[in-house]
Amino acid sequence: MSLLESAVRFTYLSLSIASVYILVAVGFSIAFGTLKFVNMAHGALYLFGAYIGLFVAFEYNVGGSLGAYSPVGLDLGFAAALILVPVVVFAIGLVMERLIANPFYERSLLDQLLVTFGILLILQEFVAILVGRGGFSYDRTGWATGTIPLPGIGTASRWRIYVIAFTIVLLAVLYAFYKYTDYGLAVRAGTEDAEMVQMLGIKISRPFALIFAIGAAYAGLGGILGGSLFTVHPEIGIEILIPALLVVVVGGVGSLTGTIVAGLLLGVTFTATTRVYPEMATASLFLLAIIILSIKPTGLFGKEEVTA
Amino acid sequence: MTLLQTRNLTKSFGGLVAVDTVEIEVEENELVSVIGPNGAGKSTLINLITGMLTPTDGDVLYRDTNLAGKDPYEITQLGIGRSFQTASIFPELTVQDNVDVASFAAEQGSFTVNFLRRRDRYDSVRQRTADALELVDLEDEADVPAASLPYGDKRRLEVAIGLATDPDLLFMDEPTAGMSPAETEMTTNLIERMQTERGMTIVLVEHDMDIVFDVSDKILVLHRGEIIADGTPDEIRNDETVRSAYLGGEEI
Amino acid sequence: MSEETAQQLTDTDAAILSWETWDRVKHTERFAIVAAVVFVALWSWLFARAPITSELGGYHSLATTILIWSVFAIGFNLLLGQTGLLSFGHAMFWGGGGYAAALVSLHVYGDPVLMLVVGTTFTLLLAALTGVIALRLHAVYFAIITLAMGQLLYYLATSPLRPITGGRNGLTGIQLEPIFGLVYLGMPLPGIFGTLWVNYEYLLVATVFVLVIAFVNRIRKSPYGLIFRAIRENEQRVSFVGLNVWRYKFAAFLMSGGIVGLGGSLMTIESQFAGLGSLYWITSGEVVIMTVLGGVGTLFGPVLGAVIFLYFEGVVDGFPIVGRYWLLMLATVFTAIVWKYPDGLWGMLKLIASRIRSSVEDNP
Repeated sequence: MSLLESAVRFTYLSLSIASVYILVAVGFSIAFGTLKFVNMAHGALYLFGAYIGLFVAFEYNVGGSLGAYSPVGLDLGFAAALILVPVVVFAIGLVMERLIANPFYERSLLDQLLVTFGILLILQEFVAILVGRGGFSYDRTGWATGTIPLPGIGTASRWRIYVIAFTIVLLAVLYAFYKYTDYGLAVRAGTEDAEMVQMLGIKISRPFALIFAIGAAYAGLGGILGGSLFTVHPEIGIEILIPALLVVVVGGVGSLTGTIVAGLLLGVTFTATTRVYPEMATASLFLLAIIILSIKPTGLFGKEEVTA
Repeated sequence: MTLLQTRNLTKSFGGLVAVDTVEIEVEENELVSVIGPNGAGKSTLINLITGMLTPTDGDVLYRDTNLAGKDPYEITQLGIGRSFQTASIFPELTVQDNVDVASFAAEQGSFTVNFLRRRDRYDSVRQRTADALELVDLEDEADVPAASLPYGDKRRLEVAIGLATDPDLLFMDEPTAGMSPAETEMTTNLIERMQTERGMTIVLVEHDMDIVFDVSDKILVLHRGEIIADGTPDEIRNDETVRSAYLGGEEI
Repeated sequence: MSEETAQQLTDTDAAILSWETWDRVKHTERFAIVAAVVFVALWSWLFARAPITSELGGYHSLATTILIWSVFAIGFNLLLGQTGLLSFGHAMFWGGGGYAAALVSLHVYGDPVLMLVVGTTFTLLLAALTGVIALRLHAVYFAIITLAMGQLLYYLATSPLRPITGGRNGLTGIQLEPIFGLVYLGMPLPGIFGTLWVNYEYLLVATVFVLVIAFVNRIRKSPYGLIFRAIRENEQRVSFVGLNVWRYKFAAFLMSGGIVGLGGSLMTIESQFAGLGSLYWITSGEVVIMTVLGGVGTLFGPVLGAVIFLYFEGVVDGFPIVGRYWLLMLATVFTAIVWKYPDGLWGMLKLIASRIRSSVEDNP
C-alpha cells in the first residue's frame, strides 16, 4: 500500500468514526446546552436506531422472547431503513421529551443524570429480553459495499465514504436550521438566557421539543450508521455514550462547532492509536479528554461561567 | 483614614465596558451608597471588589493590600463581607447552620478546623451565630430549614450570614429588595446600628432613594460604568448632572 | 399557624415522652455506632443461617461481600452525599486499593492489616493526584473527567502495566498470613461466635465496617460535615463567607477515596484475587446505583443500597424465570426511587415512619 493510499485510508477511517461520534454527541450537547437537560437515555436512541434499522432492513433469527417467531424483520432493504429510522426515532424523541425530560427540567442536574441513566438501563434490558444478548451485524446490500476507485491512489471503502458524506449533509442541515430559522434563533437565545427569551414572548416549549426530537433522530441515524460499521448488541447504547460524552465535554457543552471539532479530534486519535497500539485505542480518548479538560475546564468551545 | 480605594478600575465583557476607570474612596466607619440606573455597573463594581470578577485593568486597595486577582475567600478573610442581591443562602440547612458556616470561617479561618472534632464543641462559633441571629431578629427561627422561611426572612438570614463573617467593610447589594415596609425599616435600623455600634464601614447598593438619602454619609452615582457624581446626600440632591442623567429631572 | 403548632407540640409532649427520648438518642454519635455493631453482629446470621430470614437465599460469603461493598458505598457517599460531587470513576480507588493490597501480599508479606494499610495509602495518593486535576471542574464535567481517569487506569492495567497487574488474568495466588502473626482469617470461630460470625475474616470485615461508620459519622458531625453540605447547596456563598472551597472539596475527595481504597483492599483479602473488573467503569456505575438507591447523604442508606443491589445480583439472578430480569427489575426500582424519592429508600422509610408516627400521635 502506498503512503498516499494509507493516508487516504487513515482519513476516511477517522472521519467515519468521527461521524458516528458527532451524530450521537450533537443531540446530547444541544439538549444539555439549551434545555439544561442531561440525558443519559440519549444512548438508548442510538440503540433503537441500530436495532430498528436492523429489523427494517433485514430478517434475522433472534434470541430472547421473540426467538420463537424467528426470523424477525421487515426485509425492506437498507435504503428503506435509512429513511424510516430517523422518522421513528424522531417520534421516540418527542415521546421521551414529553414523558421524561419535561417533568425533570426543574430538577437538579444530578437527578436528571441519575433518572435518565436508570431509563437507559431499563430500555437496554428490554431490548435484551426481546431479542437476546447476542450480537448482530448489518448485512449491507450491493450499493453500500465494495470500494470506490481513486485514480492514481488506489481504492476507498465505498460505505465509509457514504457515511462521511451523509454526516456532512446532516450537519449542514442542522447548522442551517440553527442559524437561519426562527426556531434555531429561539434555541440559540434560549441557550444564552431562557428567561430573556420568554420575556420576549417566544413560546419556548415547542422549539425545545422539536430540537430534542431532532437530536434524537440524529442519534438514531448515528445508530444505523454506527451499527453498520461496528456490531449491534444491547449494550451499544451505553458504550457509545462514553465517547459521545467525551466529545460533548471536550468540545464544550452546547457548542455545535465544539462538538464537530472534538468529534474529529477523537476520531483521528482513535484511528491513530489503533494503528500503533490497538489495546490502548479507547484509552487514548480518555487521555485526550483529561489533557484538554485540565487545560480548559469548560472544553474547547465552552463558555467560561459568567456570574455578573 | 481611607479603608478602600480603587484606582482606574475597569471591567469589560467582550466589547462592553461595564465599569470604566472607576476611582472611589471609602473612609473608615463611613456609610457609602452606590446608586445608578439599571445596568449602570453597580453589581459589577461590587463583584470586582469582592473578587467574584477579575478586573480587566486597575487596582483595588484595601488597607494597603491589593485585592485585584485574589480569591473571594481571601478577600473575605481580610475583613470584607458581602450580602447578595438574591437571597444567597443554604436552603436545606437550618437557619442556625446557615450562619454557623460563616461563623466557622470567621473564628477558624479559611481551612483550619479539625475534622474529627464535633462541631458542638466550638463555643465561640455558637456565640457568634447567636449574636448574628439576634441582630437580624431570627433567633426564634434557628432550627427551621432556611428554605421554608418567607422571602423577607431569607434576606435577613442572608444579612446575618454576611454579619457573621465579622467584616470591617460590608457590601450590601439591595438589602431591602422584596421586603415589607416593616422589614425595610428594621433593616435600615440594622444598617445604622452596624455602623454606629460595631464601627463597621458599609457600602450599600440600593434602589430605594428614601433609604439612600436617609442613611448615607456619601453617595456615589454610577452611570454607564462611570462615576458621574460623588458627594454628600445634599450635594447629590442638588447636582444637575445627576438629575438629568439619572433622576430624570425629578425632585427628590 | 404557629399557634396551632405550638398547641400540637404541647399535646404530644404530654402524650408520649418516649418519642422525645428517641429523637434525642437517635441523633447521638454513640447510637449510630451501637446500631452498626448490632447490625454486623446479627447480619451474617440473619442473612445466611437464621430460620425464616435465610429462606430468602442469602449465604455467608455474600453477607461478607455486602459489608465490604457497603464500605465502598459509604466512602462514595461521603463525596456525593456531602459535597454533591458525582464521581463516575470511583472504581479507580476500589480497584486501585485492591491491586495495591494484592501486590504487597504477593511481593512483600500477606498480613491482612499490612494489606489494608498499603491499599489505603496507595489510594490516598491516587486521590490526591486525580483530585488536583478533577476538582477544577464542575458538575457534569467533573463526572466525566473522573470517568475518563478511571477508564484510563483500567486500560493501563489491561495492557501496558500487564507485567505488574497480570492483565486480563488479574492477580491470583494471594496467600494470607495470620493477622498480626496470631490467627488465620479463615479459622472458624468457636461455639455461638461461629454461629453468628463463622470465622475471623468476618470479624475483620465487621470491625472495618464499624470503624468506617464511626469515622464518617464523626465527619458528618464535625465542622467539615457542615461545610461540605454548604458547598453542595451553594458553593459560591461558601467562598464568600471566607472558606477555601477547593481545599474542602479536596479533603472530601481524599477521605472518600481513602475509604473506598480501604474497601477495595478488604475485597482483595476476601476474594484473594484482584482483577480488572474492579477497575472497570461498570463498577463505578454500580456504586452510584447502590448509593442513590439506598439514600444519598444518609449514613446508613448506602448500606441498604448495597444489600439490595448485591442481593439482586447474587441471589435473584439465580432464581428460575425471574432471574434473567434482575437488572431490569433493579433498574426499574432505581429509576422509580430517583423519580419519586430523591432521598432514596432510606429517606422513603423515614418518611413512612414519620407518617405512621404522626398518625399514632394524632390518635393516641
